[in-house]
Amino acid sequence: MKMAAAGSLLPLMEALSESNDLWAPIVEDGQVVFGRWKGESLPDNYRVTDNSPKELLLPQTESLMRFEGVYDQLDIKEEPIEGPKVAFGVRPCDAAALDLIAEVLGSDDYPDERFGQRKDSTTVVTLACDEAGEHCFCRAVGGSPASDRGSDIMIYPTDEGYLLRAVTGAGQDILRQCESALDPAEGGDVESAAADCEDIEMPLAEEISPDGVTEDWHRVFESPIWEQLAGRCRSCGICGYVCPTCYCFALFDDLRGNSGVRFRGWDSCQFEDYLLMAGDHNPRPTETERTRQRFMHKLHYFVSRWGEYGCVGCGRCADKCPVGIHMLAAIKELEEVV
Amino acid sequence: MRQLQKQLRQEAEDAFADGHVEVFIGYQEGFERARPVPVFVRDRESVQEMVLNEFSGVSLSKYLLREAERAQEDASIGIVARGCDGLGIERLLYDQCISREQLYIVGVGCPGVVDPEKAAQLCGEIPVAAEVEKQQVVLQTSSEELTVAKEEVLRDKCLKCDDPTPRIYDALLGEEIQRGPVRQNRFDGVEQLEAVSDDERYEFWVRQFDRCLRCFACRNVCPACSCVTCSLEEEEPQWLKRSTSSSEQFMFHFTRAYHVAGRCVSCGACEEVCPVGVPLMLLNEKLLKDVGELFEEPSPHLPSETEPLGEFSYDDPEGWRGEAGQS
Repeated sequence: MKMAAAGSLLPLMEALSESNDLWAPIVEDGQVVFGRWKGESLPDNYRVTDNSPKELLLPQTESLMRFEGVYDQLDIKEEPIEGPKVAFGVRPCDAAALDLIAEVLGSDDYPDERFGQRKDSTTVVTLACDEAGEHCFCRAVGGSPASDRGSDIMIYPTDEGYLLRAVTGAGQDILRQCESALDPAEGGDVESAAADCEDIEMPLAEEISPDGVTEDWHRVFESPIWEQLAGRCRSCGICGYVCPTCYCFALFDDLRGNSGVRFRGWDSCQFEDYLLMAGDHNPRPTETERTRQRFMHKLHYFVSRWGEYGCVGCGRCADKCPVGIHMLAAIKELEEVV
Repeated sequence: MRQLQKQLRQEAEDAFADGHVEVFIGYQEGFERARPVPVFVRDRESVQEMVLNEFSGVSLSKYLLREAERAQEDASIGIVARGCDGLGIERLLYDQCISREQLYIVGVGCPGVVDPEKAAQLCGEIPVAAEVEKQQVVLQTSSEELTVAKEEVLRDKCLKCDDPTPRIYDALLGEEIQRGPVRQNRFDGVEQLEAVSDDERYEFWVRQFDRCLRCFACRNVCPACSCVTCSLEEEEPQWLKRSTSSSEQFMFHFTRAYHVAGRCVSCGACEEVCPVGVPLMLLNEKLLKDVGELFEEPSPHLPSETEPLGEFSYDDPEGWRGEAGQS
């Protein structure tokens, strides 16, 4: 257990950046985004970044391979994966979300190699929360502002400074690298620092609970609420793209003559063409089915397959949906029908 | 505004009672009071769900496209419209997406809409009520009352608005607020960007577009983006690749901006919905400024019969097929 020297995280970030590709919340034109670190302190009072750090493990788009030729003379070159990264200042909800995605993309049956390699080579340094944001509700979905799930190192803010604890061996290795930026934590009590974060006020987590929705999912599925919620949906991809647990992607070929690149890129179940099939059949033809899918997936399908909610309560959907169709609103409306 | 809400409900109720309105597009209470959401009222009884307050400002006009498609042929669609939505409705009318006879527009003389994020910053919590006065805004939180300048708390788009009252309506709530002269500061941002070097400007846009998630919210909310199939979603040919390389991001943003050049009504909805703060209005305003200067249009964002880029004339000084003055 260590303390960040001089009560600041900046020297630690500087030390980490010396031999690592460091990513962190940065301020860019007034937006707080998770991006490549440029030497600044962490932004003041940020809660979660606009984009989720899932981008590091599952990029918005990436080229998978390049190919050239035809049939038996096809030359395929796999696209190499970039080197290891350190993700710094990740929030507990976002770190847990990386673990949730790994349930699916890292499963033994169908492992996604590129995701897996990135997950293994990314060190997650998580900053526990000492204040809940306007739309935070992690506790209502099984998370915690002090959770170390998905993290290699935990940082707990305390009155005396930042207390650090390595969660994994990889975390320990990284901490060893930056001894110069750390002080011994004399008398620092990690248990009570974590408990302080654990206990922060989070009004929304007291107010809503998805448990009833999950249990009574048959009724929920048939509820007229979906049509009302979806009526105002603009069919954009904001909710899925800012969500730290959404992992859907699609594959695309960019062809030029006999050569080309195969890409994959995020996709969203809110887009009309997401499930569009040959012959123009669309199993989710209107906003109603698509909206229902989004919430049912996180509150029921994911629960029945993986035993936990597919939502970590970061509140980004509530921050960003321009027409108020988000997890909090959905749970609140649905609580009234179950 | 409380008074206006009462009037709105009355107008909507009368419209349903007359039997010619099938649906009324307005606002209802959202998850938070300071974030009302769009509502589609389909019967007289539900009219009481409608709200109209200092926070209800989400752009509504684009919903008319979908509702017009679903509506019975002779049925009308009611809609409440502040100045910006009024222009959005005009856009759809001039683009012949909907017909005037189909609409029942209840206009609002709009003093500006409070931005809940800005208000929360000022109050430390989202206020429960607000009153927009001539020069200032009174914010009401659970424990106190706070008076702040308009500039501090109204939405960005309201601070640049020249069109508080819709130009077309069937009923008007409250007083008409006269449109002022075009604001002097309207193109400040564009001019600042025009003043820097090409390289700096390029870097600026690379940085902005790099954040873009391609969620298409900007396009989906825009009343000037009314194509049935957007060219950017065509598979054959695939104009826009799914890659988010700088060149593809430029392709997306320039295509979007040029498609609405001379047609953008400057409602600001695109920028407002962007989840990552891409300053889309800077692009739109640059094109509006150019159209204004090149075609001597004092208010290029106002839809009209003879829009510089929306009309073909045999007398066009630049001719047809490159031969000046010849048809």
